[in-house]
Amino acid sequence: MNGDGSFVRVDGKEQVWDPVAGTAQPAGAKGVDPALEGDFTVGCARVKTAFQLFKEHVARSTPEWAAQICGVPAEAIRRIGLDLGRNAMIGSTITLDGVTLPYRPVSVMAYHMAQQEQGFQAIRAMIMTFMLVGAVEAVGGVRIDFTWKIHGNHDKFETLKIKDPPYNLYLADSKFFPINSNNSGVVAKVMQNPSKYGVDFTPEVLIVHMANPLGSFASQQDFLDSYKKFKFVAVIDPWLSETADYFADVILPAATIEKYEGPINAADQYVSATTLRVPPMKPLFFKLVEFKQSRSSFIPLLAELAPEQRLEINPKTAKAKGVKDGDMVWVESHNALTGETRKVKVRARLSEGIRPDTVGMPHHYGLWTHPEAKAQGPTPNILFFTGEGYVTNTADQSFQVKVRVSKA
Amino acid sequence: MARHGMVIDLDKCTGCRACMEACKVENNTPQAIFWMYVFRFEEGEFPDTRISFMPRPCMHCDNAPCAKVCPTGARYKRDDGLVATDVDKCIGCRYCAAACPYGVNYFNWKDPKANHYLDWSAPENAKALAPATGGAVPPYKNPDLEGRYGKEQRKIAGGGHRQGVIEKCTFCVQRVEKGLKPACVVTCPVFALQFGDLDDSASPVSALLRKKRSFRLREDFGTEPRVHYVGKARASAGARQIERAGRTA
Repeated sequence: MNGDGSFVRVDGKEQVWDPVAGTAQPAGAKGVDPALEGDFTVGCARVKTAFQLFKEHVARSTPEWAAQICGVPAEAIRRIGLDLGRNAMIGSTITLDGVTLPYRPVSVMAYHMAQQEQGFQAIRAMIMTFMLVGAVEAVGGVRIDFTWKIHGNHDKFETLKIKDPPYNLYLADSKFFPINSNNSGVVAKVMQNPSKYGVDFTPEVLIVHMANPLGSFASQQDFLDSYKKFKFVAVIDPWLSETADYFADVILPAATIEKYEGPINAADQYVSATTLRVPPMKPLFFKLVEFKQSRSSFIPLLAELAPEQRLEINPKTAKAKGVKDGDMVWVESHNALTGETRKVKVRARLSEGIRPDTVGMPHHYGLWTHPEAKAQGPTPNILFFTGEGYVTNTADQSFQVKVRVSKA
Repeated sequence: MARHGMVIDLDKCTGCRACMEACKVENNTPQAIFWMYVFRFEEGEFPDTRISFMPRPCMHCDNAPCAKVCPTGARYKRDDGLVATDVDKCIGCRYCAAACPYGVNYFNWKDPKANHYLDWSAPENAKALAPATGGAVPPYKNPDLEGRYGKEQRKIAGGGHRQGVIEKCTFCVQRVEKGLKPACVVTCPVFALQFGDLDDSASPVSALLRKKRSFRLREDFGTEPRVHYVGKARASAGARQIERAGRTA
């Protein structure tokens, strides 16, 4: 790599350092075992290997430095890092169906992490860690189970197309970048005031298939205000959703995956369906059983395990506010742009597992159509805001917001 | 004869509670009754905190205090190590619950039908359900629970959910007598629960006990539990229970 971070190329081909010959060679050249670390002279330039640059870059990011920011003790960061490194079994292989493959039995679950304010950066750091141990797409490792495609909002700035209005409902190619997404929250925001966003129409018909925007996305108020404008709403769902309850003119039944017989593709929301298209079998419980988002909180067996919404709060923070475990509290959010406030009442649960400056509410509750899901407590989607100031890199909804907590 | 027992590896348990659900599905237990219960504990102060988990079935003690105090012989120890409850003999005195130091006995204060996960007999539910079930009345019941088991041929599986009767983990006697393992054991996604013959040195439970240091709950009481725990991820005395299951929590 050159000093400016660009690749050293000869005739357009990236170069590696051959420590045997003591020269740069084209990447992938036969018989070359490239140097991992070191700095060398190529032509007149001082260059370094990519790994060397990476190592120097992260050298500043010590466990002590990270501990200051995230609150996880430095020794715990070291312990987890060593655990990960040892368990990755770098260099090991496994033979499956006669094919020998790299074996790296370490992984991490990052679903929804990208929808936090710094989520994209967190995911990148995470993937880089797993690249270091060779666990990306290795057996047992981290799967990126689709063809990698950079999200439009992370494309190079110079390739962004900014057109003059009128824009479509997703604000595609608009000056409102990065508040441009086909995610439901942006549409709900735009629909409330199309002219503000350079949109010259209001849609009249909505078809919702296997989704529950009113329950699942932020913010609930934006959906309540915008979906009223539709003249006709059809909902296709296996059960009565909150969106159907409020807005549907027509409700059509949808088959759940185990009953679905038709052709399947991702657009049907039946991704990876082939693996499930087997005859019905005995119930298997193979994952964390509590809830999948809010899609299971009406299942009585599961609801009994985690029966009620809670605000997780650090005991020190709670004490300062006069809040005891099990007390009802108000959680109030504030929109820094508009001054709007929103609040929910929820039961406080004290936990030393959460930072004193942070409170948490799981996403599983707040449904009302199913009798078993009633009175489980509110969804945090009531507290969030959508649109200006509250977007994340890859979606229209930010799953965190600044709040005030007070005893109810 | 096999002498059944369980070994629980606390280093493997992730506290997912799938075993609790498997038990409920297999044994059709009513609400608030957990023959298998997984405790979640938290200890320390932020940021030096630790969580740990502890599955708690019936300990099937060799020196079972519950069986000693039972005035009718409903609670008894079987030759194969299982501590059983004959629902036809139980008079609901709850002496067993008082004698047990592990809190594994659950009393049916309510009619279990009314205390099931949805009151199917309520007119609005029965009406809503009729077209889908063709008139059959859920909840679905495992027919094996109604059987009679052991050389005594007594009614000791979960079929006896009745008002005024005690119930607890049976080690899934209806499965064990078929040569199957308890529902919690076969469901555990990380194989933290092992079940087998503790007297057979070749069994997986015996092998695990040889490999790792083990302990039993309140051994000082002399109850001789047949449930052993291995692993270092054990809650300390100061741990707090978090995320209690149950609607009345």
